[in-house]
Amino acid sequence: MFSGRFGNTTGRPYLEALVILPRLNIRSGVSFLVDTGADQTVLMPTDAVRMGVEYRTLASAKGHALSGIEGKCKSFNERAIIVFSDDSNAQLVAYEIEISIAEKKAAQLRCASLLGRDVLHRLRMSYNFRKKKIVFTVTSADARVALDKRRANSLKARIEKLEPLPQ
Amino acid sequence: MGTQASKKVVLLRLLQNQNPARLNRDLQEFRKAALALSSDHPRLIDKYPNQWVAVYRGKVAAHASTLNAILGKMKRKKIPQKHTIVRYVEKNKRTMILRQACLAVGSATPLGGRISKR
Repeated sequence: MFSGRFGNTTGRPYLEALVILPRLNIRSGVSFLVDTGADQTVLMPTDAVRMGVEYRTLASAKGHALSGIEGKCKSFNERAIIVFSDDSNAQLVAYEIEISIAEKKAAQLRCASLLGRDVLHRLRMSYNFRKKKIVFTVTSADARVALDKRRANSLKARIEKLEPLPQ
Repeated sequence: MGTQASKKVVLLRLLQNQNPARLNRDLQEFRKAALALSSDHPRLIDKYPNQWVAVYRGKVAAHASTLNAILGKMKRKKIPQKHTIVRYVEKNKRTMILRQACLAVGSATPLGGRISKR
């Protein structure tokens, strides 16, 4: 179980996660706007630029048109791992997704990144604005990594025992 | 091993290589920064209206009028960008709404979509 937060003046629901972009060797925290209306998780230019994403390296990546925020814009798909910290179970929860990185267009620069239904469908959300509580429970995940040492070591040993994967 | 299982192993290996304890520390630090921004927001509106702010370790570490300027400032001050939350403090709240939710036939792209109203 983990909690999100509400923006104080906007009242918008946010959830913090770590985003890993393996191909670009980038890892950074991102504050996502929880958006049940978004089909896909989107990384907006504010976060992408801060994380150090070089847009010219995305040019070759497969992209598509994003409709929505202030019109239409181009986006680039990139393999990403979204990590949440499940405090109550002392574990990290990871989701492997194709994240859309919105093009660096001025109109989008002020928007928050969106946590879409590709991730939200795998969580249960309890939303209570009056009590300023937004709580997520994991229903499924691509990987779970224990944070307590004993469980983490046993998992590490199990992974090391596995035969190398074919390239 | 099935494709699903081998994908999981690749993912677990990747996470182990990143050091899970460190990942957790980084995430907690970032969450702290985000919470600080949330609770400080009314004051930030008075202090930094229509400006970009960078919050690091619960404090405003830099502010500027453009995104590039704030990123430059952060670089000069050696503020780690990974652990910093950067937000534009808007004086006039924008109302974000979903304009249309219908889908074009044979396309996954929604027509219309989200627009913002001033």
